[in-house]
Amino acid sequence: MADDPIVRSLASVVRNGAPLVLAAIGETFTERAGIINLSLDGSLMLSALAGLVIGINTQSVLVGALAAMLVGMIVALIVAASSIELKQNQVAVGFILTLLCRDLAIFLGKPFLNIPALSVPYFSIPILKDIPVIGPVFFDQDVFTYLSLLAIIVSWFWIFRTSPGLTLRSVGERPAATFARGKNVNRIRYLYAAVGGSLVGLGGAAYTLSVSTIWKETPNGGQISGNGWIALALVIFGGWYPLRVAFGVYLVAALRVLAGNLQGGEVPIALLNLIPWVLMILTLLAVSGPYLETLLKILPRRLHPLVRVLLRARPPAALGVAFEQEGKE
Amino acid sequence: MDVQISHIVKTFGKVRANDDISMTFQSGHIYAVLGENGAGKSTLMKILSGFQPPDSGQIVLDGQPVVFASPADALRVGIGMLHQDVLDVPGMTVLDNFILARGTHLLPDRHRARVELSQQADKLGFDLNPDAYVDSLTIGERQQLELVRLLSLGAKVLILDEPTTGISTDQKEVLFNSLRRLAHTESVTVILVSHKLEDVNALCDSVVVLRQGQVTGSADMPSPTATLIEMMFGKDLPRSGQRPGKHAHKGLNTVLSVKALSVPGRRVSLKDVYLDVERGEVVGLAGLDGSGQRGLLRACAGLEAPTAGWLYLEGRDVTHLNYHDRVGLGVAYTPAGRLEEGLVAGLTLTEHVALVSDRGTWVHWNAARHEAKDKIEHYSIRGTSESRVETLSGGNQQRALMALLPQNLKLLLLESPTRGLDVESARWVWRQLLARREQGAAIIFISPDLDEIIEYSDRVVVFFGGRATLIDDPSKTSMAELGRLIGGVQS
Amino acid sequence: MTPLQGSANTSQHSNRWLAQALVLIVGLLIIVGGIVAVLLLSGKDPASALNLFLQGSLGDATQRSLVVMRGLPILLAASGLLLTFSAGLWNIGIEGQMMFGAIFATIIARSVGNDTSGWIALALELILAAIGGALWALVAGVLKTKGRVNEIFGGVALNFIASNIALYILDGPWKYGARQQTAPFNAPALLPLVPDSGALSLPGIVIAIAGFVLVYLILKRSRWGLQLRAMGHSQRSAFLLGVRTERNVLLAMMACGALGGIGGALQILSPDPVSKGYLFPDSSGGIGFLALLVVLLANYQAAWVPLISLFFSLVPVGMLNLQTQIGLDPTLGRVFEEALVFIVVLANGAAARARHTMGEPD
Repeated sequence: MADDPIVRSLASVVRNGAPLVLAAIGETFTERAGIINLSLDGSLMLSALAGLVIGINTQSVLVGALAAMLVGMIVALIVAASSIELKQNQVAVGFILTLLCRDLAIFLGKPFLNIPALSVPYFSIPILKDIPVIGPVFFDQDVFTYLSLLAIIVSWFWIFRTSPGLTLRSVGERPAATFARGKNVNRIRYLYAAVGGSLVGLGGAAYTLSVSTIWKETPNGGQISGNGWIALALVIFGGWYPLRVAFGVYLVAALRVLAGNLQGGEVPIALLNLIPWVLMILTLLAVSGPYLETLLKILPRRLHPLVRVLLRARPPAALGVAFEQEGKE
Repeated sequence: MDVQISHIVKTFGKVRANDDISMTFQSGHIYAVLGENGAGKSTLMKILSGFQPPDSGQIVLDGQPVVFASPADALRVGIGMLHQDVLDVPGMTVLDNFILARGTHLLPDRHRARVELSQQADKLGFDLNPDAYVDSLTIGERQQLELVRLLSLGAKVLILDEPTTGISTDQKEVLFNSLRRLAHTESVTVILVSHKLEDVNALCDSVVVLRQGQVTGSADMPSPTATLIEMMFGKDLPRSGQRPGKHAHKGLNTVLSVKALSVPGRRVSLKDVYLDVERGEVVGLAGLDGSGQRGLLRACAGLEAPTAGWLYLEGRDVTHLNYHDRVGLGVAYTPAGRLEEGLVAGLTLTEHVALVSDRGTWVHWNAARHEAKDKIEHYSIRGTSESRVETLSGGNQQRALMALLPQNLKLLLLESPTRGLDVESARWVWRQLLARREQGAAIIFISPDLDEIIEYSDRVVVFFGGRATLIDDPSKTSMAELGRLIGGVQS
Repeated sequence: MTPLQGSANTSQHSNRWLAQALVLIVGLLIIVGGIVAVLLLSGKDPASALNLFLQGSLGDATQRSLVVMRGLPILLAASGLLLTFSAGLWNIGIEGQMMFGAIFATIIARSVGNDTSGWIALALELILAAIGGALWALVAGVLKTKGRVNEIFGGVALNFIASNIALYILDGPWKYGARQQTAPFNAPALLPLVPDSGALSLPGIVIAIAGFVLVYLILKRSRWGLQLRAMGHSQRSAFLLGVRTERNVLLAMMACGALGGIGGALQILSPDPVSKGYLFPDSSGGIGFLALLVVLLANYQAAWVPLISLFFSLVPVGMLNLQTQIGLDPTLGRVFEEALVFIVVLANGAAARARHTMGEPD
């Protein structure tokens, strides 16, 4: 069964999707709290480099991953702080940071180009791995892949089932109401910027420690650069719902595996590389375009919650807006 | 719970919003805090409910001095405030809003919360669906949810800021009944902040009046209206009804003709509306918030696409013309949100004048500045030509909006033209509007204030559930009758 | 975002300046310290590196002319971005628009023979470049206005699509030998040089300055510029006050794309060591993003844009010398520029905060 090419492809989709899952779920947390961390593309690369270098130097995957998480967290906290403390535009700061981190990673990573890093062992989970199809796809992987699966489930549970999750949603939707209920809005925003940034960092580490163990980033591209933007778009595609976000990630990963199989055939590589971006535009059109609102107008009211959860992508109302406590000068 | 506030002072820049205010509220009584806009009511209530700290002064609850760092602090000791703009989370369900920030457990006990919510709602006579999304509720329902939440968290003092704006007569009845019960059987202290004397008359045991940041008097209800007005304004204002003679609809010179118009809406869709409006006529659109009147107004402006029906402007079919094309034909529309939709925050008055003035590739800044200065004088705007509009007061922003309206209008569409304005400013606005009417413009307006509609409209259209009922002579229709129509009660 | 405000109030702002200066100085110290540390760690003498950098950028007329010519595409793109920023748009797709400008210019340039008139060739190339950039910007604009796709994400996707289209063309129809590039253009297709001036080209300079001046006049004096600024503050209010916002979004995007497209064409049509005189995969070379940084550094103030554009072209030109002489990775130049913008934005924020705590109006 495990040798079935389809099962193998599915397993590789789940494995290759792991860094994107971690990054996109991280960004979902951050944006749910009302902070847009546009620096993803750069912070993924910088944290990936940190994971690689620290990992090699300490010969420890754990330390490498923690270093990567620290880098991701710091970048996210800078975005949060410049919005909360300095009232700067989150998009502007995030954009600058995305370029800065990217070029910093390329510059600092030059000595590490094509040096093999640590490899993370696979370990299968007993019993679960023997389930047909599901087993080899989900339960015969490495630690980063397991963490990515855990991130999906935990983030969904946290955001929609727990009290702090409820507070998190309210902070992104109507911070004034959260404040009135006795919560410290900005502290919560810092917290989720840190949590989200750490997950992005972990996603970076997953690139250099799991998916590929080699650093390939140059000014002309690499294997990480560009993925941060895809992760950001997937958060929108997923409508800020973790399960939908993860579904989007696996869709993209599947397309890539498919494109990889097509390579060397009749279709030029450049055109294959174009496909995910065209799809990204099309999906953004589908979820944020006017068509969905029209659908909502036609459908009876009791179907609305379902449509909201499945299709609509409406950003948290206070996304990108700094919270100002009334009357506090 | 007895509340005593003494010597509260709060200044914003040079303005003393609260200037040494002291007053006492006793347990089980219903109070009104009256005052015109800018009298300091809202500031005082925000201080009492922990949203703002006072510069100096003291709050004493049942003999204990208290200091609040946040509204949650205030609620912890029993003071809850219902804001005019209800502080809930629209994107979440009623139940989620009820649970939000409640209790310290990681996993909320949804089942218990559901029971608690429905018990509390039942007790107050409210009907709330716990699974509905808050952004699909009416303002009245959102207030009900917030009251339920505050009381279930142990509020013993309830502050309500202008709660009757935008809710139905029925909802108002339900609200007032539950407030009476809370005060008289559960000893809750109720403080109603309002500028509506009818609400105060209907509900309150006593009233405190503020003017320019100071207490100018207090009285036990019932009290003669004239006394209250004198305390509020310092002089006896002339009675309303001063406007010149009503325009009798003759069916001539029709400016706007609405035929079989249907407009889709989020909650309520407007269905099959007919209306003719002629030169020099003022038509008021009454109804609960979200009954379809806004849809009609915006469809007339070209901001909402009708699903069926026709619109004619002086006989010309304009159904498919967009907003800007209709503006070109002499239609004007002013939204309710002056700084959100009406004026461009960040631009100066001169820039506004240049923005709306005649076409041409280049802006002549000197000419624009002169024009702005003329308008500032003519419309008595307190500000300079280089003032950014967001630095103006609400009344002056409304004046600026009036100043920017083009000349020779055929049809003027207004959304809540006097929202948040004090009586003087509101009257000024209507003098301007009536002058436009004398010049031949037809006016259609929406207002949540029934008095305003009755006073200024030649004819009234009442909306309920997307259906429109035309009232040809509002002066012959009683307030009660109108209230019934608005509430959808067949007569 | 507060695009293109009038000059700051001149009343006492000492605290504000203090906060701003403090962050700036500390930030610059960190940047310079970091660069010195990097040099020392890789066994290079910082002082001689600085010397090499200055020689490489300002040392002689050829180097100085190179700085000017490399600054022109940045200036053009940044001028275009002033328009979109004014209207509240984040035209991150400028990079792809420049690439499209370069591709469209190449349509003409690669068919220009040695006996063609240079002026006609150049005019056609630039017109086509403007059309190409404007078209690509129009796609992002339509996605935003009709499809409600945020221009940032639409723009990013369109950037990647543009660069892949370029790759496809250069790997296929326009392939020159074994390399991913077009054949070198014939001399009449390139910008004419001022004799003995290094890389200086008068038409290039005139076009870039004209583009900037036009944008400046539009923003300060024209009705359209005022409309864009109104939209930048409040799209909704501007619409109700009579501004055709949807059309203006498209027009602003297209104007920006056209200017960027011309910039992209200048990028490949200058006969200098960087631009090479043919189309290659990375022809836009991050100049669009650099132009975004220029406008952010200028805090959306048009007047600062030409100077900053020049400075932003000086750095890579100087770095080129460091690369050839001591093998320093020129990416360091980019890092320096980005870190500088980052620090300045934080300093502006610190000033705003100081102003806020002083209780002055914003």
